[in-house]
Amino acid sequence: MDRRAFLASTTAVMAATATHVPKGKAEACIFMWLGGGAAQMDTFDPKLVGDGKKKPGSYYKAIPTAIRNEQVCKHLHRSAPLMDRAAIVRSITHDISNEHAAAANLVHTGRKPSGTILYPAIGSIVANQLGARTEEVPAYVVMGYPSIIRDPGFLGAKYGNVYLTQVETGPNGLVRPPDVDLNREDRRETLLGQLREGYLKRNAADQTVQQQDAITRSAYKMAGPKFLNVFDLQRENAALRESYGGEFGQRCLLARRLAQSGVRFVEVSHNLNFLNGSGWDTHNEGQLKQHLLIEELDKAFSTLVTDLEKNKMLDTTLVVVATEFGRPPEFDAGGGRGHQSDGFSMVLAGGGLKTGQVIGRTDELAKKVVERPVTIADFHATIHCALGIDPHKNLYAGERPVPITDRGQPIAELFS
Amino acid sequence: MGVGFVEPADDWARSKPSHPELLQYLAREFVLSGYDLKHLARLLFSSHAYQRRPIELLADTQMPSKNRLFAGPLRRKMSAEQLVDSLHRAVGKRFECEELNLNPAGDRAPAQFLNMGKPARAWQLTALSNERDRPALALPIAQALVDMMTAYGWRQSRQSAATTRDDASSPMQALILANGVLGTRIVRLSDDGAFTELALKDQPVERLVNESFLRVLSRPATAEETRAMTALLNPVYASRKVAGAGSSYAALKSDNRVSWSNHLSAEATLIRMEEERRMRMGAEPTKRLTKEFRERFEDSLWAMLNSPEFVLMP
Repeated sequence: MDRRAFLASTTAVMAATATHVPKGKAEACIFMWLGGGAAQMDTFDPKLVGDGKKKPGSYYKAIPTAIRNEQVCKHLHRSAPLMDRAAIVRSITHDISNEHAAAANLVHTGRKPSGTILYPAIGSIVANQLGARTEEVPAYVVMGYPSIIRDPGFLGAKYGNVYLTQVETGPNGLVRPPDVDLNREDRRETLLGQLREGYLKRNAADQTVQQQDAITRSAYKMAGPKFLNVFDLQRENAALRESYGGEFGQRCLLARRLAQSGVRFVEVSHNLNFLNGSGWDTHNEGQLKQHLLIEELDKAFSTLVTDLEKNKMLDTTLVVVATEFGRPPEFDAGGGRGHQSDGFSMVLAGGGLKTGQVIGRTDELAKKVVERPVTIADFHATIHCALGIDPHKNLYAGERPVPITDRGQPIAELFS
Repeated sequence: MGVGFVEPADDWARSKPSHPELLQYLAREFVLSGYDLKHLARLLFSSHAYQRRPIELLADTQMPSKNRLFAGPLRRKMSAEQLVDSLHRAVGKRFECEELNLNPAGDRAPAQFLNMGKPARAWQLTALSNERDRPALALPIAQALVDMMTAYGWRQSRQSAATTRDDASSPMQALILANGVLGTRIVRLSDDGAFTELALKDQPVERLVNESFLRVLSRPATAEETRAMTALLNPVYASRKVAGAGSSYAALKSDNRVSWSNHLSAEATLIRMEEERRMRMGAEPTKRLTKEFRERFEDSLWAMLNSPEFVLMP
C-alpha cells in the first residue's frame, strides 16, 4: 500500500466513524467582525466588577437577558431582551494571543497558516460551496479592507470577495466612476459594443475569444441596477436607518439588504478605531471609551436581529459576532486590557439554530474555560452546518484534499 | 505559445517535452548566447511560428505532450502583472505607488516593520497587511493596483508556487477593469499620459483614432471602428484645445505624517480617507483639452481597454 492509498483508506475509516453531521437550513450568513479583540467580560460574559486598576473583573455592571439566569454587560441593554434569539458561546479557545493578524487569520480561515498552502477564508468557502442564492449578485461581500485573512486562498480568485470600505462609496468595481454619468456610460457601452462585435465577428470560431466575451457579459449584468439598488439605503424607512446607528449600523442594514438580494456571506467589519482611540483593541486608555463601541454594537446587533425577524429572514440568516481573541480580566498599567485567547465569547443568532442558550463556561473571572471548550474549527463547523455545508467534506488544493474544517465538530446543542 | 513545452511548467519529472528538438535548439542558443534571455526572446518573437495566426481552441494543459502538435500559438489572457504593467504602458503613464511600509516615521524596529520598498512594476507588489481593518493603515494607491491584480489571480501570500496560480476568468476581472480605481486613473486624460499629447498633436482625427488603436491594441483601426470613433470625436475635435492652458501634473503622494505610531488618531484616519477619496476621483484631468472632447476621447479609450481583445494575447 503506498502513502496515498493508505491515507485514502484511513480517511474513509475516519469518515465512517465520525459522528452524525447536522444540517441546518440557513441560507445566508452575516459575520460581524469586532477587530482588535473584544473583551468578553465587558460584553457577553460579565463577571464581578473590578476597579479598573488593581482589582480584576468586568468594567461595567451586568443586566439580565432573555436567557434565564444569564447576563450581559449593561451597555448591551437593547440586545439583552433579544438574547433568546441568540446563543452565546463563552468558551472559545485558541492559542494565538500575541498577534492580531495571526489570530484574525485563524478565526477567518479556521487554521494556522502552513508553509505550502494558502487556506481560504470562511466567506470564500461558503461562496465556493453554495454560490450566490440568486443570479447577478456576488456570493461573498466584505465591508472592510480586503486583506489576506479574507482571501479565497487555494480556491482561486473566482471565490474572492466584492468589497467596500465605506457604505457611501458602494462596492469596489461595481459602481461607475464618479465622473461617469449615465450619458457617458451609454456612450461607453455603445462604443464597446461596436468594438466587441467586430472582434467577435473576426474571431467567430475562436473558443478563447468567445469564452472571454461570455464572462465579460455576465459581469456587466452584476453591475446592473438589480444589485446596485441594494446599496441604496435611502430606500429604507428613515426610522429604521436611524435605529441601526452610525457607520457600523448602516453596514449591518446593508448586510441585511445584501442577504435579501441573494448574497451568501457578508462580513461586516467594525473598525472605527477613532471612536475610542483603539477600536476593540482596548489597551490602556482605549478602555475608557470602550462603552461607545459596545453601544454601537448593541444598536446594530439588536436592530439587525429585529429587522431580520420582521422580514421573516432570521430563521434563514445566521448572524455571527466574531473577534480574534478576548481580553484578560486584569487591567494593564494604563487601565486597559491585554490579550487572552484561551476563553472568550462569540455569538450566533438566528440561522434556524436552537437559540436562547449559553454554550460553555469560563471561571469566575472569565480567565479560563472551565466547561465545554469550543475550538475555532468547532466554531467554523457550526457555521458550516447551520448553512447546510458538511464541515468534513474535502476541498481540493490542486490534487491535495483539504477538509473544510480541521476536524471541527459542530456544537451539537445548537441543532435540533 | 499558450502551453509550455512541459506542463505544468514547474514539474519536468511528470511529463516529457512536447517538442524536444525545438527545446534542444533553444537550449543551445541560450548557452551559445552566454545565457542571454533577451536573445532567446528575440528568437522566439521574430520566429514564423510565433507570428502565425492563433489557433481557435481553448488551451488544454492536460493533453499528453506526445499528442500536442503545433499549428499556431494559443490565445491566452494576460497575467495579473502583465495586465497592470500593460495598462500603464498603453496609456504612457508612470507606475505610481506608495512605499510599502506601515511605519514611514521609522520609529519602530525594522524587524517589526519591513519596508518592502516602492514598487515600479506590478511584480514588486506585496501584501498590504491591513488585517486590522484600520483606515489609517490603508495604502490607497497600492490598493488600487492590488485590487486589479487580485481579481486576476495574484495572491498576497506565496505559500504555493506561482506556477499553480489560478487563472480562471471571473466576472470581477471585467468589472474591476471597467469601474475600478486603477481603470479610472488609466483612462483619464491627465497631463502625465501619452494620449493627452497625442490628442494635442495637429493631425486629422482619423489619424488620432488609428494611432490610438496601434498603441492600445497593437493594430490599425478597421474601417468601421474608424467611422464610429471619428463620428464621435469629430464634432468637438476642431475646438478641442484650450488656449493658454498649461501642463500641470502632480505625482501621487502619500502623506507621510501617518505612521504606525499615530495611526489610531482621528486625524490620521481622516488624512487617509481623504487620500482614498482622491484616488477614487482619478487623476487630475488636463486643462489643455476641453471637457467635451476629453470625455469623448476617454470613453473611446475605455472601450478599447475593456474590449476582450485587450486582455487576450495575441
